[in-house]
Amino acid sequence: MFISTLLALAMLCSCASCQKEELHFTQGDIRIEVKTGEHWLHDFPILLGISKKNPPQFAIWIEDTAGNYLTTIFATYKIATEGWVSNGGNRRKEALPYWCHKRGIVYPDGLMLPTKSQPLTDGITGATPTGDKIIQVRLKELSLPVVIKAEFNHSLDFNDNFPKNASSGNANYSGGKMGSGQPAVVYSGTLYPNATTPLFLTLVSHSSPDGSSGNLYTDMDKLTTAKSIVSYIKVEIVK
Amino acid sequence: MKTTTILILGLFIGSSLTGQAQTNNRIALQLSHNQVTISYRLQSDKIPVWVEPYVGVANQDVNAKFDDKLGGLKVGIPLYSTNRLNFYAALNTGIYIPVNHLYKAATPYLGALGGVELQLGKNHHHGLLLECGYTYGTRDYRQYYESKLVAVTTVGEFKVSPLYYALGYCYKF
Repeated sequence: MFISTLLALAMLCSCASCQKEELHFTQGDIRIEVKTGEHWLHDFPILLGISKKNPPQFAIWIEDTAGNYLTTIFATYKIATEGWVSNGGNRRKEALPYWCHKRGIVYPDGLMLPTKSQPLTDGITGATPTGDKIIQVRLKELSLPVVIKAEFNHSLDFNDNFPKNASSGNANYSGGKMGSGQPAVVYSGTLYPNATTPLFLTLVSHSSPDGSSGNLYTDMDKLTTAKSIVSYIKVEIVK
Repeated sequence: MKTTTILILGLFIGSSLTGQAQTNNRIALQLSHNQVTISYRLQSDKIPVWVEPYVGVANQDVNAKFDDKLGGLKVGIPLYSTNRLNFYAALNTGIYIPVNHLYKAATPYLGALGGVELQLGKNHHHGLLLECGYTYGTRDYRQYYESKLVAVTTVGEFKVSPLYYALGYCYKF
C-alpha cells in the first residue's frame, strides 16, 4: 500500500513535469523563431579539462527604418543583469557591443552594459535557451515597417583569426583569455506590413571584436563557427 | 525556518517510529557542485525497504546562486552488503523550486539512483556516502513584458539537472 502510494506520487510528479506552456498567437502578432545552429552550444572550460556546453548570449531588438533604436524584445540573463560567472572581472563589453551602443545607455562605470544594480528593464530578460526559441510580439504604439535585429555571441570562441593571445589594441583583440574570441554576429531584416511570406533575418556583419565601439564590420571571412551559432531567424506576421 | 521545521518534524517522526537501539536509520548531509541536502532515513522493521525524506538548497537556475529550494523523498532497497560497505538503489522524487526574479517554475522531478555507504568507526555509527543517478524534471514558464511600444511574450523551460551525484556523511542511530 505504502509503495503503491509512492509510485502514484511519482507518476503524478512526472505528469506535472510534462505540462507545456503554449503561445497563443492572434492576427497581427509577430512571431519570431530563433532556430539554433550547429554551434549554438559551445564548450566552456570549467575545471581540470572538464567543460560544459554553453549557449550564446544574445539580444533581439526593434529599430525604425531610419536606424533608430526603439525597444529590446529579448536579452539573455548574463548580458542583461551582469550575471557573469567565472569571467575574471571582465564585464564582457565585447559580448554584444552593437546592441549596447544602439541602446545608448551609459552606466556609472562608463560602459554601456547593464549592471547588477541597474539591470535591463526594457524587454524580456530570460535564461539563455539551450534549444530553439519562439517569441510573440504585439506592436502597440508602433506600426510597420520596422527593422528587427539580433546579435549573438559566445565567450571563449577563439579561432586562428581571433586568438586567445591577441594583444590589447590589435584589431583581433576580443577581451583577452576570458573574452569572446570571434566577435558577435548581427542579423537584420525589415518587416513590412504587407509581408505575405516569412522574413528570414540576414547575417549582415560582425560587431567590434573588443567591444570598444558600436561599429559593424561586413568582412565575415575571418569568422568560422560564429556564423553557425544560429541556423535561421524567421519573422512572420500571423494572419 | 520552514526547512528546519520540516527537518525536526522528520527526525521526531523517525525517532517515534523506531524503538530499537541498533537500526539502519541515519541522518545524512550530502553535497554536490549544485546542491546540498540533509536527510533522515527510516528503515522498515518488516520489509527491506527504507524511505528517506530530504530538504536542501541548490543552484540550478538562471542566477547562479545557492538560493533554490528542493525537497523530496527517496525510497530504496539494499542491494549488497559487506562488513563495511552497503550498496543500495532508490527511487527519488521531489519538487525543485528555482528562486529568481525572472520566473516561477516549481518543478516536480523523478529519478533513480545507486549509492554506496562506507561505514566507519568501531560501532559503524559514522559513514561516508556516494550516490549517483539520473533525474528527470522539466517545467515550462511564461514571461511577459509590456511597454508603450510593444507587448512581448515568450515561454522558457526550466530543467532540473539530469545528472545527479552527491558525496556525503551520515550518522546512524
